[in-house]
Amino acid sequence: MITRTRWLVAAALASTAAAFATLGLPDAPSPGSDVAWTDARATQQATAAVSQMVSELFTVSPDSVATVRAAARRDLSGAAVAEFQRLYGSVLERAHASAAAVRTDLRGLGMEHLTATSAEVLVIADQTATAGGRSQTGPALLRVTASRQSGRWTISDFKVL
Amino acid sequence: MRSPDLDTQRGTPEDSETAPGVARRQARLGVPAATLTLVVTVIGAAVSADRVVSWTRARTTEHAATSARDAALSAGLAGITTFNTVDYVHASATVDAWRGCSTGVLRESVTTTRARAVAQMRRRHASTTATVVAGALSSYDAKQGAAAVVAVVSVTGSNETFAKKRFVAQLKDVRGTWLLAGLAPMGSAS
Repeated sequence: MITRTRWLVAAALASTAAAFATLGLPDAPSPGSDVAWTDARATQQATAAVSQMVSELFTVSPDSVATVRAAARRDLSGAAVAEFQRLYGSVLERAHASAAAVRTDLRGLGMEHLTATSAEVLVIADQTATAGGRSQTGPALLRVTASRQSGRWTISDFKVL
Repeated sequence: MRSPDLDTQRGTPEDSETAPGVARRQARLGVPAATLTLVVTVIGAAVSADRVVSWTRARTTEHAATSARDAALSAGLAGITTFNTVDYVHASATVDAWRGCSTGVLRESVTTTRARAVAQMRRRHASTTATVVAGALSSYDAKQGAAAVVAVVSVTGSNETFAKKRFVAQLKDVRGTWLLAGLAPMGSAS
């Protein structure tokens, strides 16, 4: 009888412990899962955020230097800060003096990878550089890495392919 | 020698005063407590089973969704590569490959222009190979069975000419297979 009682109590404890343990199983995908396009809402939000940041950051004209600098402080993080300075620093410096400008026209964006905290986006664009009254347009292909913190996306890295 | 069971069943006064007797009595459950314990066990097991089943179902659905998405991307990139690959020696096979990975208007177009395309390839001794530089899904709707892929491909010609081309491919899920429903160059920069 005692043995049976012990078994019953042990089973109840084990069953309760298992129930509590399984309650912790997540319904949603784990934070590291790639939810690009399988979570349409998250994909659209990340795509829209990256699209807007790329448009604001990679188009520089003499009139928009202050705006671009503010966007860089707000929207860039990590390695992207130095990379942006390397590529756009001189344009921003001489935009006023030499009427230098770079315009980026997005042609297409593709979401390659998306998690709760990071996104990799392929950016296909045309870039027009203007200096000394002459313009030249060429294709541009970027892979942008975006990071999400406190619900806000920033560009943490980008590479020209 | 007395049986422990008999001791606890009888509940003699001396048992209630001795530690082993107390332990034995405490180790036994009355009928209501035993029933409660049994109910807790059953509920716990039911909750566990339900959670495990729903978790497994969620993971299976997630896996199926990512597989379908990846299949759409692969088909899109493969289709773009196929349409940029030309071999005048096997001109008919080239057009057959185009036809095989397309559907709808694109497939009809390939079918109706087949003879002209084959003749043109042979006349020009056209030969190109294409490789994907980068590509990704730019839209995807599993329920509608529609997707779009943007890609940059490098196309190398027989005379070592080289070009980077950008395309957007519209895809359609036809009975579980993603096929190109449309293919267009993306706003080319001059």
